[in-house]
Amino acid sequence: MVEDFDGSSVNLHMRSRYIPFASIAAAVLALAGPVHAHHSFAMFDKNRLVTVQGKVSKVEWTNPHVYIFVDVPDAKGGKTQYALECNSPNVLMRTGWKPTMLKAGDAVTVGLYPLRNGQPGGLLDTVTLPDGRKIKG
Amino acid sequence: MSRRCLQLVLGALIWLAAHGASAAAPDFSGTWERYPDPYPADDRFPEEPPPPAGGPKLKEPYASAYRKLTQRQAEAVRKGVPLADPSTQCMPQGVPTIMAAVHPIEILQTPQQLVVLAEFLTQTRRIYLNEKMPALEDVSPGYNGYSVGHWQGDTLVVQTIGVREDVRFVDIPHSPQMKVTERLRLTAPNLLENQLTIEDPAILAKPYTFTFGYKRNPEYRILEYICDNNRYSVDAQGGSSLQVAPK
Repeated sequence: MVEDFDGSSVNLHMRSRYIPFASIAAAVLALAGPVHAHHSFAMFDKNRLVTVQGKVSKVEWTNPHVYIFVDVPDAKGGKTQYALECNSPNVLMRTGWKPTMLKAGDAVTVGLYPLRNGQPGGLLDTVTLPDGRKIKG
Repeated sequence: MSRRCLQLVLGALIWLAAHGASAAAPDFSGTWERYPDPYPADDRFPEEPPPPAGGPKLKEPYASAYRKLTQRQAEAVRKGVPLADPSTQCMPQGVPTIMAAVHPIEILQTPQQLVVLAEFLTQTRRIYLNEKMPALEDVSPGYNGYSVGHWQGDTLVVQTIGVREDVRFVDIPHSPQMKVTERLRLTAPNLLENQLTIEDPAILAKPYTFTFGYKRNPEYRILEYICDNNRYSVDAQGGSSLQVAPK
């Protein structure tokens, strides 16, 4: 099924939560750990897990959330920047993240729950790093 | 017995009463996490746990207003524009919400003070030990109000007044006369129990009592949590939306 929430159909494929990525053998980091609510998550569509591929343009290692911005190519040769909300740094550190794990220019595959208002962004489910490691958001 | 000798004996007894009692006081120092944990683990879409102990019994018109608010909240969630709460806006939680320990809390205890350092929003709460509660008009209203604590055996009884009127616990209003009493005791070497009672006859039909439990985590070190990148904006209806443009 092709998703179309940014006006483009490139690289947007519906996936169920447990269908593995190509890098299935890669270690999945950090799965246990509390994910506490700083706010309601009703602005994200929890029934749609979307996959995009692109390049990291910016990482904001900040509170109340870490944000990763990913430039995703579209069908017209342009790109759309996605804002991906991750957990807060304290929770990410507890679950094994390193602040230097992602940097601008990294090619990543991202699983996200999109914003319900159609804006290019979402709640990060997993990110697959250039070295194949797959990390929970 | 000479008068001088009597003075010495009395002095020693007073010293023992003071220092013996403080030496016997349990030490709550350490980093604590809620236990049992009311926040769902590994859930990407966690919702707020329901108010403890079935929620407060409110007087009218507060009960009706609270019902309306919960309906508005549910409707906003259905629309995907959840109502902003103080936490969404990075406002301090205040007493007693800070004790719900959404992220770990660290307690530093001295004979004079118990200090609660919350990881969430890097909040500080001070509880002054063995002091008299000041009159309400002498307290500057604040998120955490003014707290004094006294030992009753192995239980630290903490009373708090002067919590700002706009501070909310589980979305309920309170009057300037609200009093919060906490009874803290170790139920095992690494388990802390906090029995809380909110008294506020202007708002509550009866005192609201519930318990928060905590487990000591000697491994964890609290991280800084300065909320300086809040990307949620609030619309005229109070709904919150994520701002996706990079700053």
